[in-house]
Amino acid sequence: MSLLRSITQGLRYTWRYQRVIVFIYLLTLVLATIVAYPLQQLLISTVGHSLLVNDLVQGFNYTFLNDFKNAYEGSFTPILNQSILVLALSYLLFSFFTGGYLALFTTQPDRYEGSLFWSNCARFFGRIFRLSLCFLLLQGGLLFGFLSIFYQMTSGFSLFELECEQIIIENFYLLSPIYFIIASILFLWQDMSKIILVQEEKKWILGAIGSGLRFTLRYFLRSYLLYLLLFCFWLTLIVSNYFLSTSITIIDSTTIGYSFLLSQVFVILRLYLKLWSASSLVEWYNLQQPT
Amino acid sequence: MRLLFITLSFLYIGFTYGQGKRFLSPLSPRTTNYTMQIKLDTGKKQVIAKQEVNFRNPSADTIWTMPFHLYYNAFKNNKTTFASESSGFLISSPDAWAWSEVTQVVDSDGNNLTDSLHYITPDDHNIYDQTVLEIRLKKPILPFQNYTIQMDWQAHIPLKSIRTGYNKDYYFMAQWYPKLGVYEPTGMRFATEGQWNCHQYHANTEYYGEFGVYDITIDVPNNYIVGASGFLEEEKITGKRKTYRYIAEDVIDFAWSANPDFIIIKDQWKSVEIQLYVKPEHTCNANRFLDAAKYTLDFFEDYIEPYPYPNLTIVSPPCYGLFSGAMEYPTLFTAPTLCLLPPNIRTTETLTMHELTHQYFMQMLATNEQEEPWLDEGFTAFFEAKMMDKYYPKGVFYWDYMNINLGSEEYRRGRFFNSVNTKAGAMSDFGWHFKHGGQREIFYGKGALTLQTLEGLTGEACMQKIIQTYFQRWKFKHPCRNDFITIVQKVVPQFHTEAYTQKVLYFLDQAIHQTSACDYKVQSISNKTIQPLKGYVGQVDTLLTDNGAHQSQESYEAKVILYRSEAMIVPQDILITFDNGEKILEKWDGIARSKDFTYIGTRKIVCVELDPNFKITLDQNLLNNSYTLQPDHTGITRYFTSFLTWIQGAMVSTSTLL
Repeated sequence: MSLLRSITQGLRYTWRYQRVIVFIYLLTLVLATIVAYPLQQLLISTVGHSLLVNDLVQGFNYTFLNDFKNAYEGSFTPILNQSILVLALSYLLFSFFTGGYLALFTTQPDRYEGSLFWSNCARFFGRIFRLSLCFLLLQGGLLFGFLSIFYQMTSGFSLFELECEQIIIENFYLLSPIYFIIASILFLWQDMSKIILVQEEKKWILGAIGSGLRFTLRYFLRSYLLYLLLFCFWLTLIVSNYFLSTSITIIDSTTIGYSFLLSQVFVILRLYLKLWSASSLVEWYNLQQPT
Repeated sequence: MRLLFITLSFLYIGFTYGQGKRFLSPLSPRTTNYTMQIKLDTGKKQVIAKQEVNFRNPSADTIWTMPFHLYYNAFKNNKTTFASESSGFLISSPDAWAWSEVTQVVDSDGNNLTDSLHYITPDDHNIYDQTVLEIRLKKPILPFQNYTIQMDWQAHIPLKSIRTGYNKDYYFMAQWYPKLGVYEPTGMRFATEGQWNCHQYHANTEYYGEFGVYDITIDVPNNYIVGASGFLEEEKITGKRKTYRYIAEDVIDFAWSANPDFIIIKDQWKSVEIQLYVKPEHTCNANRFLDAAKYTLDFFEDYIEPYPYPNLTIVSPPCYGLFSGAMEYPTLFTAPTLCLLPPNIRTTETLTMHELTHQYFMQMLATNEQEEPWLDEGFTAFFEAKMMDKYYPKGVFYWDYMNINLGSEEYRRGRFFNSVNTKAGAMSDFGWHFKHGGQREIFYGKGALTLQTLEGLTGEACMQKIIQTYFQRWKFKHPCRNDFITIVQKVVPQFHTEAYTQKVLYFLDQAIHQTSACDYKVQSISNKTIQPLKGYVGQVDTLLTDNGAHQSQESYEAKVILYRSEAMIVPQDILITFDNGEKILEKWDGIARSKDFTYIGTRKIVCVELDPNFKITLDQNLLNNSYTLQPDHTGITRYFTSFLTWIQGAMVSTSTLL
């Protein structure tokens, strides 16, 4: 019951503070436009008058992409570099907003309070960012560990040494679920640490990490179940996105418009789900605290 | 009627293949014939052999020497020509060194020629290279006479080498025996006088062989299954050993493979028996091999002529035998597969079609793969792309996700233009002259694009006639590029004017002998309003002014300017569209560096397309081949919105790490 309550309450609070989602969405839109607009202008200025451009309506066009890369690589590379920069910037911005929306979920004001959001964004930014780097290292270490085991089990991916390439697949099937389970536990631990950091105003991230670990271990089964449930929502969203977006046959500006609108709806839903997960975990954490 | 058809079919088969699967009459001159008894020692990883070579002098020359390829000596030390040229030559264990040694040679008169054996290095004088062994004869080979020698030899098989060798219990034996060079009489290919053509083994080149009959008896442990060139004549078990006798007629080489776990899957295409030698884990893809093979045989039956041999053997190596993958030998080829490949990643089919095409281009048309690799690889890549696009219309790498798919011909084109140096060398260069890479892209990629462009310029019917004539004239012989060009010269006038033929030949000459690139572009379109005549014309007593001019409709000087941006000259079609919907197809010889087409009248040019039917695939940039004054940016909008959404998605995904 408490799991269900966490999810429903989480949904309620996410809806209540949806202005945060709208704001973050608009920010992603602006940042993405900053990168995509130069690409559009580059295409118009270089090949805008070519008839081959008409074929792009159908989507992937190897010959176009290839010839464009070979002819205008020098102009295209800065756009790619810029997009990497924007992704790094977005990472910092998301770190910044995390303290703000977690503060909203933990204090639960009756309506969105801008001052509460922004002050906590700034207040927790450094700690949230450092915390995320710590867990990034842990996740990196875990991935490296699993890849090393995989590498060993497949004789260094050396096909010459293997009896059959099926060995690679079998080991992948064996290791990937284990990796998924451990990685998701790490994510759960990370999320709980963030919540504890904000809720209990921890000065040191190590304290939050320790408390997060203790909480995760103490309430592991149900916490993990909640986490998996939220993961299932995410998976459903991704699969729906794939099927709906591929069901639209793009032939003209109207269908491009529909497709773009649909993709924006899914961006918003993904953001919504992200905050809903955070809110549900906050609610779950609060429910486990002694009254 | 049906009975008559069946009877005729049997009669045809019976007529073509006489006793068993042997040909009633030879298909080739059968210049060099081999009879061998070989024993595979799986413990020592060696082959011990006795071989009889019967050579018929095809010339009026008197020959005093016989050079033999000893390919395995390429792996004898780290300073052979092969090792020096190979960037990845790595010997990981002492077992990996390989060698080939002729221990005794006796001619038919009983003369022992062993003392005369010596190594020669015609290409680079490398003292560490022993890949060509020459025998000095005591009795010369007289014009048009037969000459027979008996040889004893043995070879240590390389471990996981390039194209040949063993790994674990898998053996792939290619270029494994002392193979006689090709004697080229005066006038054959580039020979100005009678000469042996027997190059050293180079890392970047393949082979060249003479037609003959191979009668090979292979003695292996009795648990081994052997697949080989030709057809199986006899199979016998003696104690713990088993002998396979294979006969391959009218072929230029002989390869075989052995493994205890091979499963043989048999199929039939007309009178041809197809045998797939495959490990149990790859049987799931058997139909992919067999269907692709049958499509290829169908294609060439229509395009050139039916595959003439009674057998076709496909060896699909195990993953630890991938060193031998994707290679072609007479009536046998290797094509690796992976069972984890999704059905729409069509590398199995592509390889099958490519390697089987080599039965025509390099086996039956036995070009010199060392000196002119594009004559086999370019032709094969051209036909592979053609067949893939015909039988698998979604393309070579068709990945059914977000509508991503890729046609085989466009893949070939892209692969060539993506290479680091598209001007690494001329197609006519010897393979080993490409010391700094790029030969693969030139021989496969440029070779295929050259033929595609030739087909575009001459038309499909003309191209088919060219290939058919080339094949009919040169099958079971050794053509060179000049022979192909001569055929083009002969056939194109049957479809086009003599002047156009000269342009096509000039294109071919540039593509084959030069490194020049091809790029034509539409530079600009202009539609200038023509001002009516004003001022004094002639006498100064009459002033023409605007008021006097009476124009019901404005006139324009509509002009398109075209550039030839690179050196290669190719005749061009230009489709010009006017604002009244009228279209004009212009022709341009493509010679000038710039060219304009100007039209005076009431119509304006709105769109120009160079090569509107995409015939010239060698053009390196197709984006600048057209220009419209009424651009439609819907496609660009699609890419803009998609890119924008991808970036947003990436941002949200990145936030997951927080």
